[in-house]
Amino acid sequence: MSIVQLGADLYGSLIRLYPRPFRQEFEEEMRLVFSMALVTIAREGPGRVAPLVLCELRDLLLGAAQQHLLGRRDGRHSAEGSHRFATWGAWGFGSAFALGSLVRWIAATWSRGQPNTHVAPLLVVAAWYLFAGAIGGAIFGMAFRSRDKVLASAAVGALSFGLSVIVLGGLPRVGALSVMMPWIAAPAIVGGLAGTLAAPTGRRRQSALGLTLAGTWTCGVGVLGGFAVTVLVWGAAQAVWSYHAASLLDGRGLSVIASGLPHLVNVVTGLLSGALLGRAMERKLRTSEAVFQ
Amino acid sequence: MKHSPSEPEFPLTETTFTILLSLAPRPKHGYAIMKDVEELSDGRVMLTTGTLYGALKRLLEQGWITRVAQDDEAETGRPRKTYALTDLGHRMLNAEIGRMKTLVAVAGLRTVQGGAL
Repeated sequence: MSIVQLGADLYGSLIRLYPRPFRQEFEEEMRLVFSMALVTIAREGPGRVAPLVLCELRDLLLGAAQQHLLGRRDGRHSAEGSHRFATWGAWGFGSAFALGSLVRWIAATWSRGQPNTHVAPLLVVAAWYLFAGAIGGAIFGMAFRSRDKVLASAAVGALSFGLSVIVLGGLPRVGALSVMMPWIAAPAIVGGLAGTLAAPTGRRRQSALGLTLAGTWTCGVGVLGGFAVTVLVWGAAQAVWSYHAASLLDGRGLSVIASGLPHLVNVVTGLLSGALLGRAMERKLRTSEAVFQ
Repeated sequence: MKHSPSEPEFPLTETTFTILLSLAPRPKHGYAIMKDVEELSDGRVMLTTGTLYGALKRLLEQGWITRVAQDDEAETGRPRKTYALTDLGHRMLNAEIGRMKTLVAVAGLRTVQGGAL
């Protein structure tokens, strides 16, 4: 298969990422135009095909994401819709955090059995938390309807997350966050500060700062609350085990459960913090919606 | 925010401006717009397919351009859709050109007054 055919096939497949209404209107034209551009550039030399395909694919992905955002925005004309979406965004963030905890637990369990491969699962965990941070920021950005404010809003979300990580980083038992703090917090804070400072007016900066503080406080309080629950449950579990479990489970089973329970509680913690974050974002959105629209 | 025809945003982005400029003389299909924009901007604006059709969709929604009937056919044998400026699109393009002319005139005046030129 030639690189031209490969590029056309790949583009034809990925174009399905666009929303259905957009595809119904433009898919055929886009395929045709892309094919013509590809054939033209291939005549100029095979070495120029790959850069064009990569550039087109990058813009295709960005364009598809943008059209999905625009579609959602156009479908949410009411303030209630916006608030509901903010809640869903926060739940998404909480879920990402919770899933991250699960991934970490699974990876830790796996690496315990295979000491020589511990680097791989650690990398998986690192990559996952970076991904989760990005998803969280993007979801916060999507919670705001104004297209030209998405980046600033995403930066606000990332800044909230980054500050929360700093606040929580020194605490024990929030392990994954403290380990990953430099990985996530540094870019999140730099990006978030840049986004906040880039807000063109003082009022928007004030609003961005307010949203950031609300996000930080709620995320922090949610996770701290979850940490308290973790400690309580962990203490209760240890009390139960000291009385019964030793005779019921062998050492390895106990070890897995002992390491897994706090992280399973993190699942609940993540969801709770997401819910709290959603409520706070709703309140802040109600007061600052006029500024961000 | 979806822009209604009565809510133009100036200044236009270079992409929007060059697309409108490309369609000013006559209707064009997507690939012709892409190549023309590249030529008009002296290679600075190189539209990808995704960017082009994202912009065309927005301009269609704003009522600045419209689809028109097309006689010729592409190499595939299927009729190609072409796009043309509407009256509103012409007015917006002219308004932007006027804005740019004013800006250049003011800039010229100021730099002459300041002895920069």
